Amino acid sequence: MRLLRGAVAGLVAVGLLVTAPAAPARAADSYTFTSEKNPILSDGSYYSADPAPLVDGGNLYIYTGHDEAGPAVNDFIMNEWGAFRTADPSQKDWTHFPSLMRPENVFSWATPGRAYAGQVVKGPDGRYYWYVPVSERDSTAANKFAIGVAVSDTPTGPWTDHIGGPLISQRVPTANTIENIDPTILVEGQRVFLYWGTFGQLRLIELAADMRTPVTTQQPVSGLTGFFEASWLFKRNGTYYLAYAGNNAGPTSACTPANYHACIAYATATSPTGPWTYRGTVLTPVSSTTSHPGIVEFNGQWWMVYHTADAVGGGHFRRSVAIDRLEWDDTQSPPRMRQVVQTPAKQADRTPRANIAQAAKVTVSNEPVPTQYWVKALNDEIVRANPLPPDMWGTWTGSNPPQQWVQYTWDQPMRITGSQIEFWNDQPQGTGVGVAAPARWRIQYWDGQWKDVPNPSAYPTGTQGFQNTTFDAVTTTQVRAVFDASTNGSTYSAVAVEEWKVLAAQPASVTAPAITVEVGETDLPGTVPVTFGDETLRVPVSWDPVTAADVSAPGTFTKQGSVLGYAAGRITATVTVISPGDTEGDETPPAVALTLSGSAGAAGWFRSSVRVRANASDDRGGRMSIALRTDSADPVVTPDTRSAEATVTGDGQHTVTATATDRAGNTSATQTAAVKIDATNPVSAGTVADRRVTVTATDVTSGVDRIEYTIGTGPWTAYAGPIAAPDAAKHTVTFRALDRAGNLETAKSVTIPADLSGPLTGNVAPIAVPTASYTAGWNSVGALNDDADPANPAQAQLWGTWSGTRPATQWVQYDWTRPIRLTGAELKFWRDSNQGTGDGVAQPDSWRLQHWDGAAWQDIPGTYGTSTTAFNTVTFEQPVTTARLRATVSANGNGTTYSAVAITEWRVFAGESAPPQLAVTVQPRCIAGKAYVAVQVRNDHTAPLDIEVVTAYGKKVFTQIAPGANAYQAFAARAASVPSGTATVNSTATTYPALSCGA
Amino acid sequence: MIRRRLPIAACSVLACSVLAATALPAAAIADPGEAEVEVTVDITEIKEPGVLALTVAGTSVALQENGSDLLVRQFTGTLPTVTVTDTRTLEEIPAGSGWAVLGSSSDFTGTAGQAPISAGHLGWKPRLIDGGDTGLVSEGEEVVTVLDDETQPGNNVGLVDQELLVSTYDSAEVTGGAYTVNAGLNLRTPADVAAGSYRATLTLSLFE
Repeated sequence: MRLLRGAVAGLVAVGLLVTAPAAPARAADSYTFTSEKNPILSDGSYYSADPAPLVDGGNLYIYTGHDEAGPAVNDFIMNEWGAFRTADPSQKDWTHFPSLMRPENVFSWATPGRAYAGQVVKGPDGRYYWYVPVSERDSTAANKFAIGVAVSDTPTGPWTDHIGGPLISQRVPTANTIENIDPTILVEGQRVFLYWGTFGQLRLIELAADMRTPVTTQQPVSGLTGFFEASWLFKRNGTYYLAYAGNNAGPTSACTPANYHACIAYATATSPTGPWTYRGTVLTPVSSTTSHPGIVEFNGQWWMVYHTADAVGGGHFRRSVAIDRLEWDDTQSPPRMRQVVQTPAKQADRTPRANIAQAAKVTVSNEPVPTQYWVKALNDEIVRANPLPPDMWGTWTGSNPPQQWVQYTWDQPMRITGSQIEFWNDQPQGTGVGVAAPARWRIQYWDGQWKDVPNPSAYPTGTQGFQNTTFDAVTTTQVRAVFDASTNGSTYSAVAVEEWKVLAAQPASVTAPAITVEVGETDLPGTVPVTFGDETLRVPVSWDPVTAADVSAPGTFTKQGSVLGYAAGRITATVTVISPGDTEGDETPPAVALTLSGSAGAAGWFRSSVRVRANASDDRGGRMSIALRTDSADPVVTPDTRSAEATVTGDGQHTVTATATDRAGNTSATQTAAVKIDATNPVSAGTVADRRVTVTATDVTSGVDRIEYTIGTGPWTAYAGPIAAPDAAKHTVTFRALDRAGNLETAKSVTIPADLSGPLTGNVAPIAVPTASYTAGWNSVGALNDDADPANPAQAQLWGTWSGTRPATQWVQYDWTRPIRLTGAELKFWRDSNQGTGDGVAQPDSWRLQHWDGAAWQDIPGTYGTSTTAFNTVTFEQPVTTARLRATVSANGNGTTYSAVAITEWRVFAGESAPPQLAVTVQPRCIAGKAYVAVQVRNDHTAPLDIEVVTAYGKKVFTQIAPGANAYQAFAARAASVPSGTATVNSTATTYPALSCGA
Repeated sequence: MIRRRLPIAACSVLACSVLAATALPAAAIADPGEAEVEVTVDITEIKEPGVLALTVAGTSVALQENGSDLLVRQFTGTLPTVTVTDTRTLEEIPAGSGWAVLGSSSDFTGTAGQAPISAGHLGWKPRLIDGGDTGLVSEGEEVVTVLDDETQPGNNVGLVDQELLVSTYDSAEVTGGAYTVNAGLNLRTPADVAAGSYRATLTLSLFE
């Protein structure tokens, strides 16, 4: 059991059920049912969670909580406990006790609800003790969860309070700070061991034989890799086992890829009090986010009980208990639990439908994906009414980039013509924070390079229901959705997608080809030909299972199958069964063909390992032996087959050859396939010198195709040489390299510093280095001069001081690399509390600007407003030349404490005279009857300058023209006249009149 | 206008000889237009008038084969240094005037009756040797031959018409100095050009 962490939108839990019985339920309330498969009770009539098994009196009891959350409620609504009972899990006959105990009916000190994970054990006195977490009604503790103990003479009650108060809470028997739930108990003779805790905190205490009196103090437990909650303590053959829900998450975790989900891991010890040694996992993550183990031996067989979201109408808060066999590996010491195989096995959905996403391999732009998300949600064909983060793929981090993408790759070309996507959001578009629908998006397919799909109908961005797009059909192995994140002009929101379906183009019809198998051969061909116009694709097909009886003797039978993406219906194949021994007179060799699949790149390269499949066919219809050879390795021979596969890995050029030999010994011609793999991105590096960026790139295998760059948010441009700053401002240059195989590296950025050598005017805050007396952890001092002033700034877009000691004054400061002549400044305060509260962030009492004169801070006289809604502008009476400017803010207070202060943006204005740096004169002239355009440029700047003159009749570059010196050129028109025109000097145009020399 | 004529000899790879140059007097001569002039005199105090003058440090150039390839034969040389001297006072210079030296070439005629090579096959690249420190004296842009792609708009014409060797934006700004310039000469012919000696004359003219 676990409380939700983080934000979950849309809680609608209103009105608790009021139909609860006034007295504990009796065994008479029970009913019997038959369970064919997991979950034990799978019809959705009653959801049960947190199973705890107990073997007693020839029966297996599974005690559970009762999930009563509505279908759209994201909370654990649990008001009572019940139990399932069976005399033999294999016989499938069960008795259900839906309501054995409610917290408020047994524990007078407990509130109703929060009937989380408990366990029933038999005490030394032969009575039954139920340790349960409940919420303590009158507790003053920060966390009111407590563990109570109920006792009964029978396994099904009635139950009474064994103690009259909590056994464990944040106050008793000694104070702790954890959430006191999820107890597990082991009784060994007269000794009783209790473990409990959640959120990564596990405690141990030993109780007396009375099941309630502590005989030790509580101890934290360590050694449990990834421990999260739901511990389960038991003993087998002298070894103690502690199973638990673990959530150490990530792409390389042995436990779970998504941290909302949990695996069941375990540790062993030689003593019931440890020390514990981690031994790995025993159950992979289940379909519900939470997981909870119960492990027990019953009539010589070991079982694991757990819960899933697999019942009809099930969900993360509507779980149902399942049971599966648990096997031991006694060859190891101590013996280990083998991985529990969840039953029933997941069956491929053979419903005809156009969606083909479920057959694709998923890659995304934000690897490794933040562990609250789970990429498999993209194409699992499950859309929940109340999704949690692992029910979607998302990108949220503290800093979100302007673009993200999702890509699907199929093993073979597919013809596609539509898309359905479901976006998730917790913020509207345009906020630049949280998760929002993208500003815009598009679908691209791979055709040697990424191309936009033709004639898309629309790319809607709604967040309720599937967003539909249709487009002209294309055939491809790879398709991707590229999302331009929504922005407020300064920061970008993240993107999240619950489901993305890609819809196949529909052929006029699909006819199964004639199929021949040998006696005993139960595999049918994995693909069928599907024709679109003059194009025929081999599309995967999922056949209904072929039984041994179908192929027991020569003859024919029919079998139905579903073709991937073909929605019109299932196809029926006639299958002929032949005898493999019928080879007389067969002198015709089989034929073999090789197909390659992988992530196709450009120019015949693959960008992944490549699966090489050899498909063989023989005129007699029998199976063959296929020899596959990769490079110089020994051939791998597969007997009795129609196909064989080899996986080729490693960057470089490989060769795969194949031959097939039929039953009569005839061998096919050798087929050869060249396999070119470059799965490695090129690597570029950028260096900044003299305000120019030089980028170099290398790619070992296919070679660098090109380097692209962009300045600021401009378009990507092919790199042809060092990139110069377009002007004197600071610029970010982003660059990336693409290799010939089509691998595009993640873009990198370098910064070209501002050129402060010339006269500065306007806001010079962005070129300063900001510092502050204090900055709250969630705020940013860089927000002061980010040149953005959003209407509703996020905390990261503010400078603020709330988390600090909140003294009477705080300051912010700008440092420049040289003194600048400053003429004014303005800033805007931010508030979330009223003046006089002495708390929160309030409008300040006053502020002032000071400049550093080389020895001391000097106040700058002026008028200083304190508005939190408009910029407070200060115009300096006398310009100030300084390299350091400080704004000191006097906080508002209530006489005892001061409020914090916050500023959204602080601008400082420079007023340095900027004489025209270049004096340009342009004249058309006649010399010997021909027209010339004469351009004269004088460098009035204080430093040498490169000067470029461009006219319609030629251009010339003058390097390093000294201050005061000239550049001059006469450009020949080679005509008797020139029309009026312009000469462009360092990007600034000067006009000249027309001139005719004819007269 | 002031003119200098320079004979230019191109040598075939088989028969290369430096031909004697026909040098013209190095003094300024008048524009060839003729008119009757009434002559009067008004003698004031003695004051040496300034002059704007053009001199050339040589009278002939022999081009040498250099850089031929399978398609084009190329012969290069250097124009003798050209000096423009201006000793005029500011009062002597018309307001707003600027001087310029232009050059054009005749066709190359074969000395043994070969077909001529047109002037469009001769290009140059002026080089400013001493332009003073004002930045107001600049060499002209290069002119490439009719066998080349243009390197500035329309400049693959050769020295058929007068092309700019050197100029100033404002005579008054640069008077009182001597400015020197030469040029790389570049004759490019088809590879099947007839062997033999050829001669052309390059005429330099000073305008203001």
